[in-house]
Amino acid sequence: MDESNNNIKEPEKRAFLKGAGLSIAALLVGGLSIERYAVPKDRSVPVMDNFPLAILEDPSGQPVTTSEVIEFAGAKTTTTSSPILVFNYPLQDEPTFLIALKGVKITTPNTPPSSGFAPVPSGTDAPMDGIIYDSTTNTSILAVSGICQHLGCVPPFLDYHPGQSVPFESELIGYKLNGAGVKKWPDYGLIYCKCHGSQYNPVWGGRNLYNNGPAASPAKHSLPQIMLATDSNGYIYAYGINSSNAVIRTHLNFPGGETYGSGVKSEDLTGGTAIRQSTRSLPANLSLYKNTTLESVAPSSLGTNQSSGAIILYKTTVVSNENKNGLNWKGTF
Amino acid sequence: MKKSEKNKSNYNASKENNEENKSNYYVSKESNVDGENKSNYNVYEEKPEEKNEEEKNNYNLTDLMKEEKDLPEGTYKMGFKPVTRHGYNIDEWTGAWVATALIYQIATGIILFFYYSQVNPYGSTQYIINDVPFGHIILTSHLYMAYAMIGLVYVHMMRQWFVGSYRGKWRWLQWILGVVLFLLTITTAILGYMLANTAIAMAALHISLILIQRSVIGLVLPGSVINWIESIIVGNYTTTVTFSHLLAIHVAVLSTLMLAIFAVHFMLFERSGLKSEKVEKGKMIPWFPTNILYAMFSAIILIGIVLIFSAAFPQVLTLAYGSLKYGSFPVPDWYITPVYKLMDVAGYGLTTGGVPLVMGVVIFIFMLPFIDKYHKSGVLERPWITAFGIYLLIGIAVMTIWGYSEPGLTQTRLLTEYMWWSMTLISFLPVYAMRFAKRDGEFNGN
Ligand code: FES
Repeated sequence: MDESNNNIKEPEKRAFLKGAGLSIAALLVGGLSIERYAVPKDRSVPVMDNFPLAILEDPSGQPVTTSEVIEFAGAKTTTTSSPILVFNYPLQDEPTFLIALKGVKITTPNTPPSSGFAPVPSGTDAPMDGIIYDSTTNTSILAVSGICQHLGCVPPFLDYHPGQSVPFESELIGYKLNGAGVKKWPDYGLIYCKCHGSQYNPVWGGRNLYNNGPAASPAKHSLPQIMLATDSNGYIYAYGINSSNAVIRTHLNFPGGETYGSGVKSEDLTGGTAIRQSTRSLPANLSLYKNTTLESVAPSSLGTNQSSGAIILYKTTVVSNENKNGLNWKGTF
Repeated sequence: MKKSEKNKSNYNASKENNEENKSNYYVSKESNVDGENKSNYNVYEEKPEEKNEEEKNNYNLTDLMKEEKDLPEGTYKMGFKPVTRHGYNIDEWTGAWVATALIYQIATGIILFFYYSQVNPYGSTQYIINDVPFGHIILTSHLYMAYAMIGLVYVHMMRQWFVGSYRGKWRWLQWILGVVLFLLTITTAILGYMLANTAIAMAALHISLILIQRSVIGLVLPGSVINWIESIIVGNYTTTVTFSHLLAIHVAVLSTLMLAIFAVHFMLFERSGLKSEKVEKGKMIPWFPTNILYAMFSAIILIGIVLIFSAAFPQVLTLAYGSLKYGSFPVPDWYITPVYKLMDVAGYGLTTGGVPLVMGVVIFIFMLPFIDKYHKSGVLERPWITAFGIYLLIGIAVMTIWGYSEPGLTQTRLLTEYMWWSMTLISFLPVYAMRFAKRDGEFNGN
């Protein structure tokens, strides 16, 4: 057969090659437009324009209150194990931690803490924006994204371990319950990622990336802080993300996703399903910390997601790994 | 002549047979006389006389398995070749086991496909375990056969590596296709592992996506290509669409590719024959029935072993995605842990260390037939290739075990360096020492 191949005349061969080259070129040009057809039209289209205003409910549909959260999950320095509290926000499948720290007023640090370990912030500063602070019990309620800033592990791989509960995995990198120096597990513990060992300090609020342990975090950014507010009933609402912080890990839209500051607010809410809408009526006013003062604002001033001029109230379910104190919050996110 | 005698005894190619053949128009007179199976193409000479005779049905199916001879000009044969006794050595059969595993996976996969639902991935997996007759053992053996398949792919690859059978004739191409099959096997396994929607599986999915975006892959390829790759994997990333995509890629795309490439890989093998044997007249054992029976028996043994393990250690479905638990969790499957651990110990970060390292090793394996420039093919005649093979073997084993026992634990650069260099020493030193000893022995012997 080889011989007969060689018998093909030179010009014909050339014509064949030209034809082949041309068709390959045509394929390549056509291939450039393939992305448009191959990628679903609703990919990279936000499922909502703005962050939703969402009321936090328990699995039975009852709104959860600040006092319930403190009772359920309030962690002290002596706490040995704290139930995981998680709700989906801003989209479904995007877990966010709800953490209550007793005896801590989370404040905005003037500079991101860089050395030493977990200073309990001084009591004289104002609470950090977006946390709920209960002054009677000196307790802070904080919500941070439950999607690890390293490679996106979620609870329970990423989990809050209070002061007296050192996870086995973190002992392997050298953390100790007690002991001198930087290897000590912080007083209020850490949010620790078992996938590759990233550490986040909840006492630092929205600037929680923790690199003061025996090994540095592979993550480069803090877990983004989700803004919380309360109404007159003590119900809890989530209304956005702290714009001085990082972006929720899965919201990084390639490329140029690693933005800070004002860019964070306009991160795209793509790649998921919206959380469900609530049939409750909007609260008249929400009290929240804004510019370090406690303010009472109308929901409409928060810039949350709307439909033809009306604020939509969403709902999201707070779930835990256990039931406690008569609160049946066990469930899946 | 010799051969045909052998055939005779093997297949009862007795007188009757020939007599029956006689009635078929194509058997010539002579062929009956000396009992040789002359094939159809003698027909051309005799055609004029037999023109009107109809072709008769042949119900003797063993004739199908007879050797075809004298095919007309222009025929391309894809044959099953006979081998010598040497071909029945167990190390020549590593590929057959992998093929067995592939076929078993397809068979059990089809059964599972009847009951799996991408709308309710975890629930339908539980349903298969609890309610489908034999569901639990089929699911478990599908998992364990995947383990076996990956393990056997490693065995198969390293065997060819040490024997040096990746060079010559079509073997280089066979090797390259083999590496493609290796990658397809691992990818298909990981996708299958994701299909149950367990917490660990979804962690793997998130991590893979972010690795695609954030590692060198994402930095080198344009954003639109990354977006395209991602949308192939997860569509618009809603739960149902994600699982539809994972399912389609697992059961249709990759497995079909695997089967097709395997067919070519296998045919190339039949084309080149065994590396380590010379074709010897009269010593060849025909493909049918010895070879096929041998293959079937070894297949049954492999399947039996997997089934025994499945019965003894039924698969336990780990934590569902979205459920919460305080304490310790499942670790990734063992074939993922080496890569996982590699990320920890690379010591230079994911983008600069882990991912390029993995890609480098894969590219090296790909190019092996062209990198190996040694002129001989003995183990000690190709010292650094052999040593590097040992290095890879130790590396994979160490990473697997270490990753399994201490997942997600970033190691210091010092420890990493210590490990790599000691492994280098362990693998290179003995090979060169043995080579030296052998040369020395030969020298003294002469
Ligand atoms: S995903 Fe959390 S540390 Fe890697």
